[in-house]
Amino acid sequence: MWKYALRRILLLIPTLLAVYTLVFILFHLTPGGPWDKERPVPESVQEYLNAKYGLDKPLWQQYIDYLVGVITRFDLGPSYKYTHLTVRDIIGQFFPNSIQVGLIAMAVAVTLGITLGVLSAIKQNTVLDYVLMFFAIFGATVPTFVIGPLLVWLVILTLGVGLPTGGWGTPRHLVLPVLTLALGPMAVLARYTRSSMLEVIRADYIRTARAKGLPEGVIIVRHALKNALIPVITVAGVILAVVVTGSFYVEFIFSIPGIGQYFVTSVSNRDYPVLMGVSLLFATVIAVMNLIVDLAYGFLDPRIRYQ
Amino acid sequence: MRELNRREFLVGMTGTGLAVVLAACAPTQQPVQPAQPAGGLAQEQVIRIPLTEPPTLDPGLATDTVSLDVIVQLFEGLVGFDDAGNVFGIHAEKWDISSDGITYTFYLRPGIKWSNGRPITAQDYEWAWKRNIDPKTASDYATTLFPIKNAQAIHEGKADPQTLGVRARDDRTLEVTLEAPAAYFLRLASTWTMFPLPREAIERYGDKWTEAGNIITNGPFKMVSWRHQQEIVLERNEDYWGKKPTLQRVIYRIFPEGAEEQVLAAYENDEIDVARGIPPAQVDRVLNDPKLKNQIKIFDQSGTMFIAVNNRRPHLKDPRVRKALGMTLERQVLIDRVLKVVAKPAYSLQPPGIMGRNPDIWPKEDVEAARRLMADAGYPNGQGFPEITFTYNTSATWKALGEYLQQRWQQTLGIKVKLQEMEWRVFLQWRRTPEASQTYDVYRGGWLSDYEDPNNWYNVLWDSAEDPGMFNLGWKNPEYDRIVRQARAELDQQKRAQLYAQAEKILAEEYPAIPVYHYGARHLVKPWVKNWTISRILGFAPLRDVQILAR
Repeated sequence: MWKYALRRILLLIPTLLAVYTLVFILFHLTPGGPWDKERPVPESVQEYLNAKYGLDKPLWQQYIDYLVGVITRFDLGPSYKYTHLTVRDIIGQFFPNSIQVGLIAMAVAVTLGITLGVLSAIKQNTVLDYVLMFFAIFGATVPTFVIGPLLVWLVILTLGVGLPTGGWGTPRHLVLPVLTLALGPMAVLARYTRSSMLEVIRADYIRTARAKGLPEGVIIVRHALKNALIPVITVAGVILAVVVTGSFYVEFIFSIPGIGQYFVTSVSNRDYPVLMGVSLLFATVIAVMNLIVDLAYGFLDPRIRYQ
Repeated sequence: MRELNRREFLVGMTGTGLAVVLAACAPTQQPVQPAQPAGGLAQEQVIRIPLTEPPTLDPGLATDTVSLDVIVQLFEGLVGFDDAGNVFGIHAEKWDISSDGITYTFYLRPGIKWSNGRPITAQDYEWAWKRNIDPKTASDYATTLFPIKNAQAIHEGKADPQTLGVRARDDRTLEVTLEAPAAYFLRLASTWTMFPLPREAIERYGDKWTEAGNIITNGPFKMVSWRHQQEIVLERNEDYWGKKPTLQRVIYRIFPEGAEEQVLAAYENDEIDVARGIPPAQVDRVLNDPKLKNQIKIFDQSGTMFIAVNNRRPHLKDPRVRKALGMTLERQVLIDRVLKVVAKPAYSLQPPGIMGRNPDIWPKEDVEAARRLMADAGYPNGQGFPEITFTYNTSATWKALGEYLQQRWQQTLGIKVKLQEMEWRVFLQWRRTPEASQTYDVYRGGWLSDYEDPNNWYNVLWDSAEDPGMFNLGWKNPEYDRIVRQARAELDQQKRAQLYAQAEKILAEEYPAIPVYHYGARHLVKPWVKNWTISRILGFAPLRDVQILAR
């Protein structure tokens, strides 16, 4: 298994290189540059800025220089727009906040999603099942940029619950963003759990367990759920990667100082180093999550072996 | 030149320009207050203000409203101007101007200090100006320093920054030598690009000197903390030399760019004390809300939104055609019903307060006369007039404007209009490409004063030497160029006013661009905030005179 893990980690290198190359090409194809201002910046200043940030060098050299900087010094470059910050500052200061919101939201989504999915499955075709699944479809289809403002309007401005509309710093600031962020993943996980459970509880070994006279709770949790979780884990891994790298909309709606916003703003600001840093970060997180998911299969199902 | 990162600018005021600190230093105009709640000041003098993340707090580099909002609380310079255009000293106790208008000598007042306790000296000014003009500093507003001797050559890399015409004669005397007389030099001297800088902090911390803990300031407030993307906290500077603020603390809460809806929600939930701008979708609700509508405050801005016209295009070369296009617009309808912005109809390209401005001599709204002009120009009912393109940067407001023009010009003049939308940076780059300057017709333009002087309008925008960077777009009038170049150096105010009045007359006859409206700003301000006001230039809010009333 370690050999497998190592091979997968090594595979990260070509993956990241591909992401790097693609983003590099894309931003050199995009019209409009970081120094385009309403009043034209004098040539001398443009030249100086280009020299300062190495943009005067031939493209192939810019391509190599950045790679060398990242590998030898872990230098992700400066921000063109926020000159007092480097890309490393931006990731270092804002990524932990996104992780925090993401992990809490994921914990909520997993706990509630799996519970609701199991309940729905064992009460299949009852009113409870219908209500839960309606809720799940709602959660999976309504986007965060609708749910966020809806929650603010309903919870704070209409019901008058004493929560802040946005901001950062206390647990109270986390309530609405976590709910907004958790709703979609929770709904998806509930649906996966339900259909997976429905398949498993019809399997022969469950019938055997029942025939042995095991209590229903043990059958559901220890026998059925453990097997039913394999497809759920696959989805959860991908969702987790997306959730911890920060949701642009959730961070935007609730003014969270997270990293997700930069994925959008760095493009409109033509802040290339920030865009590159964030892209590489996301690619790494997603690749690592996939690896963890694949390794987790082994624990859940002893039949799976890594070659 | 500032960037449009505040939503209200995207909505209504999209325009540009350097700007001046005037109002920041000026005695604050007292806005009319609604009926006060309980009298007297509140115990806690704290104000909570929405902001977005400032790109910089370095006065030498700042170009945008957001950065200046904080900078003008932390830093100040030699002189300021009040709303009536009168100059007053800040760090400068007095100043002399040589009779030829070339040499300015500023005498600093005693007892002015940096936040680390060191006295502010003339050397701090000299060092700051030489640093800001150095192309290595890459200051976007370095052009502000251009009237100073050698400035332009230094900025273009042809001379050493040490040769700049500024010299500290002693700790308290600053001598400035200009390249040529510039009647607006004191206006420029009031801008942040000419503020003194704390050399020790900049040399020690480089780009990070503006971080809390590193920054050394000299204004009425001091920085307590700056948590990026989260909040900036300032407190009253107890060692400030002048009238100290009543406010003890200022909390800027940082919202993401464009988060106008969130700002309004936070305002309604009493988390912040002001909201700058109302999101377009909420305007009708807020204006009809019995509580909110009484908290609205309207401010004028020194700026004009206009439609830039490519004077190189054969069919747009004729001033009669340009006038006809402008005369058919119903500006009040456009402002109130189509765009829903706070603005005043513009007939002159220059905003109120700019010397020489005279809207009465400009063409009025008159559809019949416009039709006759088109017929005279050889396009009766638009016959033979090619389809024209209106280009704008992505924004709901400009899209609505485009659709209005499309419908209006078709209806009144029989002219077909095609719309072309571009992302902001693409738009900026496109405007300056040689191909574009030959082929486009009309686009969304606008300008906000950098400093309230006619030079910033007549010279910077419409002098043909400014083509193609500015908005004259191929419009050339040698007589006009001669007049405004003479006027920029004229020290006699009366003569200067006459020259600019002549320039205004030429503009009114030639109509190189189509004035649409003068910008305004609409804020929501809680009833307990007293003296909230903003600068006519760039719209930043000086806080020295703001007070919090007991609720």
